[in-house]
Amino acid sequence: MRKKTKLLLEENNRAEVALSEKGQELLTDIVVYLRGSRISTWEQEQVRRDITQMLRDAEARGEQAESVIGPDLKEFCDSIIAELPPMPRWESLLCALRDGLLATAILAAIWLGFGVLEGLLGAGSWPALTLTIGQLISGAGILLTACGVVYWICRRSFSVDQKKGPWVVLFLVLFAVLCAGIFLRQPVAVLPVPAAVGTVVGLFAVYKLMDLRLD
Amino acid sequence: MIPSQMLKGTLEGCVLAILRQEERYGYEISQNLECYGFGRIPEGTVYPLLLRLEKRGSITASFRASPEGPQRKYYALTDLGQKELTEFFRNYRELNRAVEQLIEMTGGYPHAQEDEAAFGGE
Repeated sequence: MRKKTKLLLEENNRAEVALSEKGQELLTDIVVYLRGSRISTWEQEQVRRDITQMLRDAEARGEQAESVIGPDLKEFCDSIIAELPPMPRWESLLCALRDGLLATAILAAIWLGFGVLEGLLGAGSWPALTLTIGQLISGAGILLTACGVVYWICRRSFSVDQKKGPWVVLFLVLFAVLCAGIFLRQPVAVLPVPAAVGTVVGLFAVYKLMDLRLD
Repeated sequence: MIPSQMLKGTLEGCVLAILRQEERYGYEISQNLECYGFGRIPEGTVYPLLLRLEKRGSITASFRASPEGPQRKYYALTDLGQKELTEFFRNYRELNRAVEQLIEMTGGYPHAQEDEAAFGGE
């Protein structure tokens, strides 16, 4: 995230606290819905600042947030999204890649941590770390599931019904991913610890470089 | 109450017209519209329109502190906005003239006919 976006985000976080609990809840729903759109984080934060000011002003006048925004929050958000330029497809792809890199770096760091722990306990293939097909499948499964959950939450931020179905599916998918990680133990690669550390640091460094130039 | 479909095409020009006198913030614009007889138009309806005008360069926005505490975003007309407003006035006058002519040539306003019937065409 660029510096100006980060500063505005921090400013908005501070301003949001001044809202009532109901106002904060409403603003969160709006922001979550906007996060799922293709507009840049910079544009999203500018809109967030405007709406926060709108709501704070309304609360200072003693008005309800709904009377200022209008009765249909989704329609309000859709009309905002329609007025803002969507990110070019290549930039959206780069942002997705950046987020994917961070998630991969975190998963790889967890794998590395467990590998080192196994080594310290005298198990595994120490001083090298073995990456199994099950770990690869479960890593990819976790990443895809996380993307799906974020997309689902963003699209349904104004929904009031509490369906249990998607949570059951999520539980089953995560269970399958866990089973794959445990039972599929064919090795894909054997990495010396310094190479594994280098990979994790490399992934994080590329993420950082991309993050400084995107959004 | 003016139907929203009818309002849609003219609201943009009306907001530009409100801003030609002096710069205003979103809530003020919404209040002004109500005062002029447009009915209650929430700030949330005006905001996307202001975003569109700002992105197009018809208006500019600046932040200023308000007596209530939070900063307010004040909108002002730009030269491009002034040109668009002149164009809106021209188009609206043309539309208004055409609709007035149509109503007159097709029997006038319904209530006018009722009035004529009630007062014997006097």
